[in-house]
Amino acid sequence: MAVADVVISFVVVVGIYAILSYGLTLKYGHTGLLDFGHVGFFLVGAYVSVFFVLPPDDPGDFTAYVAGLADVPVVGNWLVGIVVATVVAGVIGGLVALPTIRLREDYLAITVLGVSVIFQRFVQAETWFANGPDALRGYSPPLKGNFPLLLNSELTLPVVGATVPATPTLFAVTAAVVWAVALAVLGGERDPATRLPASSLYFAGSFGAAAGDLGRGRVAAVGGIVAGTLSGGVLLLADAILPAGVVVSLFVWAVVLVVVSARVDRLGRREWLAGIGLGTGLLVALLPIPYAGSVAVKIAGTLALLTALVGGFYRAVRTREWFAAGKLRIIGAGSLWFVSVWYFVLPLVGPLAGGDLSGALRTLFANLIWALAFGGDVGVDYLVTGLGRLTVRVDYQRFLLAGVLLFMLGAYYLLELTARSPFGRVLRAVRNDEDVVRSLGKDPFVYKVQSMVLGSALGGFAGALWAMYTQGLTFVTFAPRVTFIALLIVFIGGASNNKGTILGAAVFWAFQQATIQLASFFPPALRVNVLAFRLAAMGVLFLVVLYYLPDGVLGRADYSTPIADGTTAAGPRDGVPARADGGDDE
Amino acid sequence: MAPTIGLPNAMLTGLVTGSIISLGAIGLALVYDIAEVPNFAHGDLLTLGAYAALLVNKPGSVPLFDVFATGPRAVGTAGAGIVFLLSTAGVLGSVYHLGGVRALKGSWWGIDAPPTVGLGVHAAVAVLVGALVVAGLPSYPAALLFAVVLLGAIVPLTESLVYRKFREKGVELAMMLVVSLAMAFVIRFSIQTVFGGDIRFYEVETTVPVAGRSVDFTFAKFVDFSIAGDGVTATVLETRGGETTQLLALGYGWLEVVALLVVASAVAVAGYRWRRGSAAVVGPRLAAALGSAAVLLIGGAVLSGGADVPSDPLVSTRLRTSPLRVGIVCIALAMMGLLHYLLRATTLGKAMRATSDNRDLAMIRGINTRRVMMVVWIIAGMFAAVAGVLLGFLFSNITINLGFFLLLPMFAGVILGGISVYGAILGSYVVGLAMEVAIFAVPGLSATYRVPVAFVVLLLVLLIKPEGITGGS
Repeated sequence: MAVADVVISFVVVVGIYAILSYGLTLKYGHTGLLDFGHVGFFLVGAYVSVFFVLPPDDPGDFTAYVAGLADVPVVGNWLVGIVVATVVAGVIGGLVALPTIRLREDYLAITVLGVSVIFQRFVQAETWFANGPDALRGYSPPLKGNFPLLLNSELTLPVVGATVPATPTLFAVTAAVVWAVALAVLGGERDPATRLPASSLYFAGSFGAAAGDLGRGRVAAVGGIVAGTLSGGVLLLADAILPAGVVVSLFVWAVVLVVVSARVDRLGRREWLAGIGLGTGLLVALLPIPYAGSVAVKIAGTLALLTALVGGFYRAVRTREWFAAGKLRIIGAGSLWFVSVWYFVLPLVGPLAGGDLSGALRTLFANLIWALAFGGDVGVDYLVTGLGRLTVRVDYQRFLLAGVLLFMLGAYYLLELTARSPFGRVLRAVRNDEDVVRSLGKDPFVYKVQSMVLGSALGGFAGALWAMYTQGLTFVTFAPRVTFIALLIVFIGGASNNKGTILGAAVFWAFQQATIQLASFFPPALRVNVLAFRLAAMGVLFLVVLYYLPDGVLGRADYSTPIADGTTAAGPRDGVPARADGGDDE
Repeated sequence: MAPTIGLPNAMLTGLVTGSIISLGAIGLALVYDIAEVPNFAHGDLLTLGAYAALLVNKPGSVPLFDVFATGPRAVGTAGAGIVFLLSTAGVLGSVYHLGGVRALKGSWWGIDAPPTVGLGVHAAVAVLVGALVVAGLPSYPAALLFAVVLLGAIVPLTESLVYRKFREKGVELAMMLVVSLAMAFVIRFSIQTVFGGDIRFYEVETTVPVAGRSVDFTFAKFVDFSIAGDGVTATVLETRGGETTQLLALGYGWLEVVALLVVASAVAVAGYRWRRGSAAVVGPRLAAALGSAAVLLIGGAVLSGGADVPSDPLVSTRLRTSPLRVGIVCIALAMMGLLHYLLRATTLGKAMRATSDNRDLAMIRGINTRRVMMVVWIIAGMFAAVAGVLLGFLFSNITINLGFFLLLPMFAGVILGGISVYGAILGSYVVGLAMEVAIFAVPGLSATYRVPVAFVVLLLVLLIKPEGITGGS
């Protein structure tokens, strides 16, 4: 599997967990409700949505569940499933909140944790409800049957009933969403401190829409729709899935470059060097794991090198002022370096060592053109000069990626709107001091219940996406550990910082992914220990974040409202969020 | 025909469950109340205790340590030396937590003892404990002792290395909950990093000679109670290999029963009146309970006449339990008694109660609240070790989730009782009884619902009294 595929499934999981954590960001970050039972609503969302897409239960087979509505017209599809799952999770969140929300915060946390355990045990014990302790399977994610995209399949539109060629339509949808998301991100960087032609890229990417007086969201929508239509048209007329994929991929890389360089240009040369040193040091420290022969050398070597690295970092923070001032940015630069090497260079080591130059080029090309999956038996064949024969296809993961990205940004946008609305201001006031809120004539109870409803609904929404992603549910998945992970994600980025939640989810899952890969270099008998070590390390990481970065990596977001004469910072312009302070800690 | 197992049996099981919960809940409540940490890691301290005992009980199965083992349950001189060192370090470490080197010289005794005496006494106790553990190697009691002294030193470290730092930053209680959640992860998965995923169990000699024959105290015994026209009988039976033997039969006529009950109630009332208004170790309620229990026990033993089991009793019921389970109830009661004595009869206990009531006031009055807090953590660690090692034996499998499964009922008990030691004991028994009785009494409620039942009880109580049963005075 190419590294690009790993990254894509990684981003899907990050997106789902970011949405799940957004529920907690709203509950804890904005309202101050410590909901230790957040996983309960994740569970509710997952199971409720699945009942809408399962076929009716066959009493003769080994699985049993309470309802399967897939055959019911209009109702039996994912769209309805997700909406109902979100609503039900929200309603249950409100019902849980009614009796518990008046409790002291620690009582509240433990009581709602108990509620989530009750949900989990209910699923486990009641075999008639959702197959009890065994996995609930037998449903497939939406449109899965059309993937990988080939040029001869057909798709029946759900409501209209018309039949359209599947590949151009689905590719157009995927491309439109990816394009729009990239454009929206780029829109936030319109006048960054970068030497790259960001504005022309924005203008070109939006097909001229950026020239008008449209807001960022509309520009993104227009650009996405045009890009989607164009790519769909190209696919309909010509057998051109590879060129279309190349354009989409390269556009996204260009946006990534602009975003990265906007951050990087703020760094001085010595910060850069320190970051590269840090990233390379991490790379070197991990070398004993794949290459050392004996397990003892793997463990001792890596631990010794990591200790040296962390020690060196700590020493530099204590002795060099510039290093201490920019330590988070140095870590950022180091991670960027590490990830780039891992993504582009490391996959080439194998083919190059074997003297297979064209193989190395093919790998590089596959990782660069991430929008397409390469290799395998199924797909469209191309003969490219210098690379040889390429089999390309669009697999389901990429379609899912587009969907999850859209939903994640949608959740982000909604949360930003909420945080900046009068309602959000009251929520923050409830978090800071309930008596003040009460004295101003607002009932904190009402606002807390509303926050629980909305946060739980987000959790349920994430649950439905999770059900879609995993294609099977067991009660074990919904252990209290998930709440812990969501809390960690919320705290890494900054409890009340909406951007921070995405960063937190990415950091957490990057750590998860990296340690799983590293664990595969150990003998199977030791893997349990290695994976346990990583969870212990996660606990330590959590403590470090809580102690040294109580406001998270990105710090507190500034939601101050502009006052009429404009004395405070510029406020939101048609929903465009003001930038968080970017983690500067001076 | 054997009598059916009924509600009384569920209540007895509930009593056992309540005792198990309370063993952990006492430490949790102490820490919650005095150190103000709602310690999510407490369950994992039980797990830590259970695994620590393996070092003595089955040294051959402990990774890294097994190089010193000469067999599955035997260690060489070096291994014994390490166990000895760890035990002595545990004792001295616990004392060290009470105030550094000065504490080792006896500063915490409250009397002016010469430093050499203090050092000498502490060293002697440490060596004695170490010698006891090594001499008892690899028996279960030695393992228990080892785990207790080790956790007495390790658990306060979590306070001085983590919780105190956060407290000094002035974080809120809810944040402390999150911190302890992270601590729980660190502890649980550090254990798993070392021990891996295998299920472990202790090796314990379970047959003891009683009255000329050997009795296995983990085997189930049956106690049949029957009420017939002429009185009450109780028989103790043991079933082994399809063969039922009667171990004991006690019979009482109606006159004896009535007399016993009357005397017991009279003693209870007398004891209550005797101690009314007293704040001593034996308060009015304790005096009443102890008095009537003593009367029932002694009277029951004296008046019992051998009896035949009535063939057609009016009411009969069967209890199923094992001496081990009864023993766990007794151990829990004994530890509660110890703690009660410590809290009521010693200066340290008074300081603890004062700190619990109002830490700032206690500090102004010259109480070393930091030392009080360390004492609390040491006690919590020791109780957790006892609970963990007992649980590992009772369930006869030790897994990484041993303590975590018990954490939620413990929290339910502690909050139910309004976060105080006595409340936690009461709350634990309420939760334990509710869990077992509900599963017995409600049809269709499987054992999976134990923890949910605990939380339903908690929710119901909090709905009526948001501060818990005994809280909010």
